[in-house]
Order: sequence, then C-alpha cells, then structure tokens
Amino acid sequence: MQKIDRLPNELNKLTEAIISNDDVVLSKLYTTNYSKVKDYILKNSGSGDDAKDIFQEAFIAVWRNVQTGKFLPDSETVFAGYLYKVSKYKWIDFLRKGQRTKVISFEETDAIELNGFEFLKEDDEQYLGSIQKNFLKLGNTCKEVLIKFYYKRLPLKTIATNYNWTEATAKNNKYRCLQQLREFLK
Amino acid sequence: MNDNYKIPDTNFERTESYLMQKMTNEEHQVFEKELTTNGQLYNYVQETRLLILGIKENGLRNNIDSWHKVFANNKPAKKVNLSLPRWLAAAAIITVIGLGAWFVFFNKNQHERLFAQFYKPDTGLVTAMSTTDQYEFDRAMLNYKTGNYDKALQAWQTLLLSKPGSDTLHYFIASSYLATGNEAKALASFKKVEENSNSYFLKDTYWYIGLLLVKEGREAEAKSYLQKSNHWQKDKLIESLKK
Repeated sequence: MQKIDRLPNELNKLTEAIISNDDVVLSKLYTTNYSKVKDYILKNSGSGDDAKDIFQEAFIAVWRNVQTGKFLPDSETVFAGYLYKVSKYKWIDFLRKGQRTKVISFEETDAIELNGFEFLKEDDEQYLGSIQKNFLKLGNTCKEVLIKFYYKRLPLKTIATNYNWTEATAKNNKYRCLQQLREFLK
Repeated sequence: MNDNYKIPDTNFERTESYLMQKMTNEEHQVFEKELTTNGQLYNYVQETRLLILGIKENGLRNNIDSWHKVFANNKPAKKVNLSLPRWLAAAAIITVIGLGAWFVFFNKNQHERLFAQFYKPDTGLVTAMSTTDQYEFDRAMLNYKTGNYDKALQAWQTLLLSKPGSDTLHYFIASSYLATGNEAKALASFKKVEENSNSYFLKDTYWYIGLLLVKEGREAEAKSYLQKSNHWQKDKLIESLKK
C-alpha cells in the first residue's frame, strides 16, 4: 500500500500558518509573489488574464502540497521560489499542450527544475474537481459549517455558538453534511 | 438540522483525528499499524483525506479572488478586435450610455455631485504581521483594502471595545462606514478622531468631514474643515464651491 500523505506532528511557523489557512499569511504570500509571475507570463506571449489563471492554479498546487505534507517551506523565500517554478512549469505546460501557437524554446523548458515537487495524481485531481462542483450543491449552512471547521479550523464550540446549537449538534451536523457530500460524489 | 442524528460511523472520528493531527502518539501508531492490514480502512482514509482537502480548497478558492482585487487597477486593457459593423454598434451603445450618464450626472444635486467627484476611500495602512495585538487589526485592514468593509468594520468595532480611545480605530471605522454609504455614522466616528488633537489622522479627518458637509450642502462649515485639511485637492474643491 502506498503511504498516506499526511502532515508530520511538528511543523515550522510558516507551514503551520499555511495549514491553518491564515488569511493574513496566505494573502501576503499571494500578493507579494504575483507580479514576478505576471511579468514572466507577459514576456512569454501571455495576457494579464493568463497570468492570473496560471498564478492562481500554481498557488493552489503549492498550497495543496503544503496541506498534504509534501512541501514544508520554512521561509517565505523558499515558498516564493517554489511558487515561481510551479507557475513557469504550468505556463510552459499550457503552451506545449497546443493551447497557444507560440512555444517557448527547449532551453527555457529544460531550465525548470521542480526539485521533486509533485503534482497530485490525475485521478486525485479529477476527484478534487468533482468535490468542487458537488460542494456547491450543498445547502448554505452545510457549506459554511464545513468551511468553518476544515478550512478556518474553528473549534466546534465556536461553530455551535454561531448557530445557537449545542456542541453535539454541531458535530452531528458537520458529519451529516460531509456524508451528504459523499452521496453527491457517488 | 436536528439534534437526533447520531454518528454511525466509528471509523470517521478516528480518521478525522488522524488526518487533522489530533491523535496522541500512541493512537497514531496503532492507527498506522491498522492501516497496513485493513485495506477497507485504508481506502476510507484516502477518500476522506481528499474530501477534506477538497472542502479546504473551496475555502481557498473563495478567498483568492478577493486577494487579487489589489491588482485590479493594474489590469492591462484587453485587446478587442472589432469588425466595422460591430464597431459602429459599440460606438452607438457607448454614445447612448454616455448621454444617459451625462443626463443623470448633471441632474444630481450639485453638492452630491461634488462629493462623488472628490470622494475616494482612504487607501488604508500597510499591513505586516507582527505582534498578537496587531494581528486582528491587520486582518481587518486586509478586508478593508479588498473591499470587504463590513467584515473590517465588525472586527474594528470589537477591538474598539477594549481600546475605546483609539483614534486609528475610530478613523478606519469612519472610513468603512463612509465606503458603505453610512454617512451619519461615518461623521460621528470622524468627530471622535477630531477630539484627539494629536491624531496622525487629523488632517485626513478634516478632509472627510469637509466632504460630508459638502454633500449635506453645509458649505460654510465644509470650507472651514477643508481649509484645515492638507488634501491635495482641497483648493480645487473649495474653488468649486464658490461657483
């Protein structure tokens, strides 16, 4: 059996902030790294919209790898370096797939070393895409509860207070929402 | 949602604890050992892992566009290639919209027009994660800068409970009210800043109070506030009031 991707028990400060989806840290990592990627894409036959799309997909790919313990950046510089490389890789991949006529030289392509950076397996990628779509079918309360618990990592007690529930109700409702999502995915 | 629903799945809680680092070392070791022999549990954990990752990703995707708003003004214009008939149609539509906008604009009360012309929301402060005390303020500032004024307002009002004399909080609460069109509350909060004669935000406060008074048509009072501000457009606005 393949090892399950899981975070180690002890994390450095930056990784912990990314895992906890700290808005301040994530938005800073996003806003401070965008311009460099945008410049690269604009210089390589892309548009502003391309830059935004590619950067966001790269940002999500790097974030996913932090969430699953595959990448544990110990500084913003390390994070920025990876994000830039992944963005370049994604842009070249996009050009290579023939979605654009102009193709960057092989020298340029070969220069991108991802240093062991792994993207998700295609099956997992597809399953995640399906989760994105089916998540939208959930009721608003379910969506909020799941985001509050898993993304914002709010304690059940806080979620219960928000909805005037008992903690046990919050726990059961969270489980029920997750089960509903599983059903949608079948 | 009712309270009677019981969790039937005993593996769920253990799986969730495992994936969210909530197990003790001992529980963790036992669980990992079980995973090597129980294929069904292994598959369940893999599926739940992706499910939780997918939910978190939804949360991230919801936020990402708001972070991108800071670049919105720098967005390069899209190149559009219009054929001649389309160009003519577009020109006609633009002319109609332009005339409509002109009609609405010039029929507006002159004071409201001046307010609309000169009002720009305060751009906010540079946020940088530092001390814990600063943290909540910075988080709210981020919301303010990305246009989530209501969220920012809520956070700053909570902080104000423990720091009722903070001119910075009063100033940004006022700015949030103003940005959401709640002018009476904005004015009341700006007046709180004015009470602090040493405030860093005093000159900007004079500008915004002046603007609010212009909108209300209280020209004489507005001019006295505008004179005290150091806004680069104050002379132009005062000049416009004379016309």
